[in-house]
Amino acid sequence: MHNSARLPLEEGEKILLTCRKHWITYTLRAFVLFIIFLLPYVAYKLLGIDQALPLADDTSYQLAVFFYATYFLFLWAYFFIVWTNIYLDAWIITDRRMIDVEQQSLFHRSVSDFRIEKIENVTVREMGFIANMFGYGSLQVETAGERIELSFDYLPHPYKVRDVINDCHSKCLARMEKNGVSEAVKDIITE
Amino acid sequence: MDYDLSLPGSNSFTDTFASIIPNVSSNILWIILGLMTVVLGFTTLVLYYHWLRYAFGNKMVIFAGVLYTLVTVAGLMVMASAAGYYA
Repeated sequence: MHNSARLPLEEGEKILLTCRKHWITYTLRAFVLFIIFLLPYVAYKLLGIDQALPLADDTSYQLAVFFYATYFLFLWAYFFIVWTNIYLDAWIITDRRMIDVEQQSLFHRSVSDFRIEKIENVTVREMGFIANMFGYGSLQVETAGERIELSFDYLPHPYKVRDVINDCHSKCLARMEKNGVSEAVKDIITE
Repeated sequence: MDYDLSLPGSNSFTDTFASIIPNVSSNILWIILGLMTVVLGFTTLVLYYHWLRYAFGNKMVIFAGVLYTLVTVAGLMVMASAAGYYA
């Protein structure tokens, strides 16, 4: 397993698929932040503050606009920080390797990869009504040898991704056979 | 027996706010605007650093970058306009 800060592609290596989290992950967070954005206005209207503080004159209205805009900009920036953390979290499947980019926070990122021929087991899990309805799930990949387990949640079209991985795995094994890799070496790799 | 509850909607709560509003100095608004510009400027730099370095020219990220920048600038302009009017 290799680690590096940026995407480490080998010479002639082709990216087959880049998997990112399902859009529902951003939408849920955006919805929560939208509710938080509306809260002061709802509180102002529902708690009767609008009668005591009607913001009738332009000065107090502009003051309210100023502070509401400040509040909005904080939420707006926060959403994009969260979105960036989610969006940059990705799996990249190439014709030779699987690269797992984990963006835990803005200043916490790790990139790891393993050879695709080492894959031993690919498991798809679609749990819950919403996951089935929107077509996302989690994919778990296990490798032989080092026993690496990678898991990707909120993956769109997990069955298609599994098929791509399986197809690529078969092609890699066929290529190895064609290039004359001995059975002993093949056993070690695929175990 | 009278109770003075400082709850939203009760008179003391709103009276306090009502008394604060005319006393807000416009200088405070400009200071807040300046601080917001610095904070958002730093956040924008950090976000652009990540988008340019790790997103590899992804179209969605370019769109997000443009949207973020436009709305942030618009938000700061609204703040500046409100502060200017208040002053």
